[in-house]
Amino acid sequence: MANEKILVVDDDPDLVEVIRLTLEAKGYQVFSAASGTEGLAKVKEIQPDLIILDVMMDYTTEGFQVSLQLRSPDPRSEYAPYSKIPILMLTAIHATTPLRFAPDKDYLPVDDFVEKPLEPNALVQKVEKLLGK
Amino acid sequence: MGLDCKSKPSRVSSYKMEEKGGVFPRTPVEEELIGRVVWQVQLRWLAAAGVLAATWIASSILKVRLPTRPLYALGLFILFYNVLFRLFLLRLPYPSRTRSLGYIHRALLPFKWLEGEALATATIFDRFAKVQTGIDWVAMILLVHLSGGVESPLLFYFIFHLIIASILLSPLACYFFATLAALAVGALAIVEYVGLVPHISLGFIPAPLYQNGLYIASVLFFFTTCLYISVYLATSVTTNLRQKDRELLRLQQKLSSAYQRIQSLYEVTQTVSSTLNLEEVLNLIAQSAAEAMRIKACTIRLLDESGQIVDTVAAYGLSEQYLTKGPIDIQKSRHIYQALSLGQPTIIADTSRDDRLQYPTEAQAEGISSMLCVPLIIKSRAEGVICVYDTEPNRFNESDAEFLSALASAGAIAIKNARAYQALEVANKAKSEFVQMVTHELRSPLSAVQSMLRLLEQGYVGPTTPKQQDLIRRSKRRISFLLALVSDLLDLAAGKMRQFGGERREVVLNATIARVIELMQTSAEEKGLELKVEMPEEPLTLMGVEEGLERVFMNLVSNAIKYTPTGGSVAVKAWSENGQIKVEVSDTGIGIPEEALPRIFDEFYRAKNAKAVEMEGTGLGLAIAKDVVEQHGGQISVKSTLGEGSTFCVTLPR
Repeated sequence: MANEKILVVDDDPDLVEVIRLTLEAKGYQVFSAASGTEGLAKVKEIQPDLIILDVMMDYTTEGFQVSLQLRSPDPRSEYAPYSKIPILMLTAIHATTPLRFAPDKDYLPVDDFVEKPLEPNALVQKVEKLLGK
Repeated sequence: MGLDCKSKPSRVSSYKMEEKGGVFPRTPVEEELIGRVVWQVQLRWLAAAGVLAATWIASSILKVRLPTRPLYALGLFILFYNVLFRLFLLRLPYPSRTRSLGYIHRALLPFKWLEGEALATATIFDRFAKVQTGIDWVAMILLVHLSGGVESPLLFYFIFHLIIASILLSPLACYFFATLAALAVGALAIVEYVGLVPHISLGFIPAPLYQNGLYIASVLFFFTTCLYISVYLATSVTTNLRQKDRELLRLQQKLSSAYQRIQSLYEVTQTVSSTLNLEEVLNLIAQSAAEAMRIKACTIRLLDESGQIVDTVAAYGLSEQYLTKGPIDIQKSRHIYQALSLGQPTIIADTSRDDRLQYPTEAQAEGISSMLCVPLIIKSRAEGVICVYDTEPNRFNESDAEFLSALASAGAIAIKNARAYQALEVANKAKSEFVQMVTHELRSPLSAVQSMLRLLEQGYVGPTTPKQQDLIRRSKRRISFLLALVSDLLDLAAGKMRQFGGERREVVLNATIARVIELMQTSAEEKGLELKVEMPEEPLTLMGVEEGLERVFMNLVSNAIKYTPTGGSVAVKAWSENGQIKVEVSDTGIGIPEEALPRIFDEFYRAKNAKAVEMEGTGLGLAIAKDVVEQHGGQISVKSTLGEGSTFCVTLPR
């Protein structure tokens, strides 16, 4: 259990706190960003091992946009070196509508989802799975 | 047919209509006239037979001295040329009794002596009739000569020939043939009198009258006058007949044209009500106008926001070049301005002589000679124009303006509907966006609180005393309730909004139910319940909103699971019956008390025994289900026995 770096991109400070407490208790290093733009900047700066991304921040598609940028198909994109970092998406949608999100290469290039309100154990499980444990 | 020249244009145009595929029956009079030409041929068989038979009877039985050989020869000659006529008729697809119509001109190629336009059937038959009459005249003169010349009783036969002619030919032609007959007989009398041609006497005539000048003169005089009078009388009758025929023809044309217009109007109104795609509808109207009126082109234009320029929103039959010639300023296009300001149709009879056009040169270049503009009146305001164009000047009249105005009304309705629908979509979208925003704003804080409570509960921020645990649990429960309530309320609100324009698509219920089962499987297992499903092989399809329908069965199944204690079972059965889809969700749960049954679908209502099992229900699940089912035109009902279980039945029309 090396202390991998996890970047949380979410504008809700309470939620960030919950995630921090949960993951730090398991020995991870947790960094945070409060917007999509800040998040992308921090990816370059910190080069995390995992990114936890909230779906909706300031505007509806903020979360999606971040994942699309990071996983841009253009090989010359500035985020190309970071496209392999696993992305875990936070969403409240599954619990409330029959809409099913699934990772989609073109529209939603993320690796897994975790539902809000957060169940700490579920979060830890998914994080560990994505980090290959 | 002998109709005079003035009627020719209508004949030609009627043929043109046939060419364009218009249904255009011949008038009964026309049919009959053609039939009579045929009848002329048929009658001639009798004439030929008559000549031969009469000759034989007269010479053999009555012993009258006759030039039998020449007479038999004449009879055979008549027979012969009638055969030619008959053959000619065979090559023409004339209507006869079966009234088949066909294209005539191709058949005329081997008969080069029939000159002139072979376009109209009438012309062909007219010439044919004249030819027949002409040859008959030859035969008649020979017959008269062979039966005594000026003494011949057969002189009278010219009269009925002329009566036939007056039915078939124009008055002028009849007078011509009458004159021809008079001259011919006169000439015959003279040559026999003079002795150039030997007179053939009828045996029973005592004195050689043919040499009596007075006799000849008086016969010729009365003969000629008789012919002319007969022609005059007969042609007066037939001219009258033809006038009536013309009138009938004109009325038929009017009727046909009116019928076509009604057809187009009907089709246009059908399409207008069947689609909300404004562009499609307007283009269809433009095309229908052009086709129904049989003209070159049609445009539909609407005033833009400034109220000064008209934009062309639909066009048919015009070149790209003409359509993009420049902005149409209503101050400069005075005919359009007139139409808009007066609210009346405006006609431009000749583009080369009208100064109301903004782009006269372009119009001429495009081949437009006349125009008709009719205002489009939407909600009592003239908001645009429909214009039609044709290559001939003076093409448009009152009835055209009326028809176009009717189409314009249909167009106005289409535009109104499309705009209303657009406004609706905008409003709908605004509502959806609002709901989404509200969802987020309400849910985020609740979500955050719940997450923090869970952290606390699970010891991530240090150990908690049992009392603290208890309070945390209670808080969690209340938050859960709030989250569920927010969800359900938004569902309900969304459901009610869907009534106003949710898109219905084909839903395969088998897949929807299967998904619900899949989602609920874990909860059922966790509670130790059996979850069964029974569905037919055939797809149960209906038009509906998939999201809504999934919600219905989610709610029913989750209720069933919630209110069934461990060890029980929940079953979902779906089938098709009498063109409807039926779905039953039954459980072996706590059941619903009788007094609660009538209120079970009410919003926020929860039966007492349900509250005992599960304090946190919102009471909205069944209300939402009922709302969605009813929106799909279906019904939902329940049967239940307290303590044994409940069965909810949903019926949905296909």
